[in-house]
Amino acid sequence: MRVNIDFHWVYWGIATVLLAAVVHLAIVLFLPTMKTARHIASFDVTGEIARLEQISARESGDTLLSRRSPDIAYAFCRFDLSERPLKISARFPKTFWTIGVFSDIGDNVYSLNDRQAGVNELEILLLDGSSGTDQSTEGVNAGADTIVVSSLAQSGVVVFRALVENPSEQEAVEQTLAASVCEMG
Amino acid sequence: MRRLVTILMFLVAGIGLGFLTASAAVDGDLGPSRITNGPWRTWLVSGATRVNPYVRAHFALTGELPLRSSEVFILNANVDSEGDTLSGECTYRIDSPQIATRWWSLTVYDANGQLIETPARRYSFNSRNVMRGRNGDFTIRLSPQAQPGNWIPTGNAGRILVTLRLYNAEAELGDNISTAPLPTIKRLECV
Repeated sequence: MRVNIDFHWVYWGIATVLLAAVVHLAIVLFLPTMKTARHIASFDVTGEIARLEQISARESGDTLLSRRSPDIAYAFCRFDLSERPLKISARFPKTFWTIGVFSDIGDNVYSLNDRQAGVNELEILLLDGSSGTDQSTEGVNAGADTIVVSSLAQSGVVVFRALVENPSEQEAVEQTLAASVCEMG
Repeated sequence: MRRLVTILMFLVAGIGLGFLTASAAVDGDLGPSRITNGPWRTWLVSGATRVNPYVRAHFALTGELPLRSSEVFILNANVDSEGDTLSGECTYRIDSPQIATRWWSLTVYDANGQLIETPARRYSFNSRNVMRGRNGDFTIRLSPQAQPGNWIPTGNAGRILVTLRLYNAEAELGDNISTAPLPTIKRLECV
């Protein structure tokens, strides 16, 4: 028995699979740039780099940090390390807390929580390590206890999260977080 | 003319297939790093140097900046334990054994990821404020009508999403998140 294969359709079949693979990869690889980076860029109302902002769980919508937990108080500051490092003076309540550094495309490049830190007040110096070598700290006033972090992301957002055990504590937790400061070093 | 039709078919089929497979991998059942346990779904999140591009794309789509799984597991359920879509117009009973974690919370959102505003202003329960049984087990009811005990109002919100966050899960739970006993969601009645 002879089987006649129509190579015309085989050709188009292979081409279709290749096109599907290209579309698939394009969506997967470019989605973070299209959505996360755009959200971070438009995240804060002032548009200022290194300015601490607080956000409410009840205001979440189609923005970054969607599906926020009503049991968590949030604050954030955007950063751009292209010229200078970022100094973070973080203040947290005596409860579960975590601080996370996220790149423009949403990668968690550094995180620390209350158990790991053992203290509720800490200083962090975020250096640009995206080029493989750490940014110079010359002229940066950093204490001996400062945690120096080499960031794989040159720009992104630092997110502060602290547990609110009871709604009656919401304001106090938010006030503590508000005492945190982000500034260019 | 025939060649033009073939090219059009090729473009539609290729783009459609690429879109469907990407959608299934990023937000559907085919996603790598996606774990299922009963009605609960979660994505494993690791550090920046080992981020799976599908995990990154998934969270870009949902708009979350997730912590690593070593800090928190975020488990979502949009179906009950029978696999039926959760609705804000129904009453559900969530039964859970004691959860081996430092702290947990269970929150209900509408289909847009927004907290559901009701006069009761209750959106969640957590390990500190939930009423428990003797063994640390607990029951939470989701319903548009007032319920006894731990009640989260759903306000006839249409489709709803239940999110269970497990902070600093003990190794016994964290290492076996796909098989560990987690809360069950049972539909009782619908309006």
